[in-house]
Amino acid sequence: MNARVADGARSLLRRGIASWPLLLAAVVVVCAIVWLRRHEPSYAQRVAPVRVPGTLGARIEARNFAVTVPEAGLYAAHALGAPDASSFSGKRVRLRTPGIWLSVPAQVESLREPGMVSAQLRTRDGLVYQNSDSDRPKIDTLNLDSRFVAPGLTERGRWFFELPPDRLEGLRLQVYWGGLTPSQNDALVDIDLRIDAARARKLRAQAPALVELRR
Amino acid sequence: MNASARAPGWRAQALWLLGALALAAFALWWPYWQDRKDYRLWHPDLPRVAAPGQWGRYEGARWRLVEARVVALSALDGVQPRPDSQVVLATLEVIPDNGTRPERLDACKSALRDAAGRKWDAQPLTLSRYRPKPYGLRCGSRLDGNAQWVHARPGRPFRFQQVYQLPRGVPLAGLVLELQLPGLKHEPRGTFLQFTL
Repeated sequence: MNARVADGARSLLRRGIASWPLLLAAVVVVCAIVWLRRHEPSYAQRVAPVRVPGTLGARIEARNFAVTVPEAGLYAAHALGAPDASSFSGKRVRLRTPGIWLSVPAQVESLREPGMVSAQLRTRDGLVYQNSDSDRPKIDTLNLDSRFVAPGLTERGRWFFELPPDRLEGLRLQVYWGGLTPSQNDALVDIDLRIDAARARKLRAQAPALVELRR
Repeated sequence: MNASARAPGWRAQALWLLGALALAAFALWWPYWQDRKDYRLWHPDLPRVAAPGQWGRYEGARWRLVEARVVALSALDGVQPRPDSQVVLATLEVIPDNGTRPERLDACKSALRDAAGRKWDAQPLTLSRYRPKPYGLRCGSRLDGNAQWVHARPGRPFRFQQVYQLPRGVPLAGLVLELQLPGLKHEPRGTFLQFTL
């Protein structure tokens, strides 16, 4: 009886030794699974917009639109003078802000179908400021917010932003398709506005108390 | 163990191997098919081409492109198009089948598309104040001169118009007009009607 048990044990051992490559492969596969799971991108990373880097003055083409931001034309102001959005009488109002207005000129084109192009500013520390809506200031020919663009019909104008005066340094302009926030997995054109410490100081110091905007 | 004893090895497993292969193929195909159906809801890609001047059958009605031409608009028309653009006015006819309601036809949407795939929707915001005469912009009903509603009736042609704004210089000859009704009931999802200008 004992001899039979010993034979069985030896046979099992022989079979185990014979299949060691299989065991090793299984261990490697399990390790790979654990490593991949630990390094799996988060949901936010998987659906994040696709960054398309660009520079001032260059025409940057994204999936379905193109944008050009000229090197000159950026200005800051403490208040904007514009037509009153809630009045038809031509009354003008002063648009104030607790921070500072920053106006960025741009030219946008649709490449495939009609739609809207929006913009946001990203500060060096990751804060995001959406462009001001089409009522602030209410000048359709100037404010690019909510303006429809169609293929071949380029739109020119400006985006307006309200942001704290001490956040100008290192600002990046991010442009995307649509009217809300950047779409998941869609293109996000990212342009460095080249505002260093000296230029930020200059923009703040030279910002007029009021800029009167006309059509 | 001799060779003849080993030969039936994989053949003996063929049945479940084939089953596993079929299951794997189905597991790949099914989600693709479902996603494709959802995608077609907003991105129709099954054109039903109507020959020039001919009627095309689509969603419980027959449709025909009568003409498409560039029109010069002035301030009198309520709009002043930008100088680098041209306004295209298309006139179409629809004959609803019995049981197709005018409200259903009113949901129609159309667009012009060029060979490069660029698309211009009908009734753009910039031309929202333009009211072409004598036909309206709705596909199944319009207000007549006495401010009374006129509806498309089964078996009778009903004319309507669609207006587009394109860059100046785009030749009409290379364009197609795409028409679709959301929430298709009779056609496979993703079907739209296509006319050559």
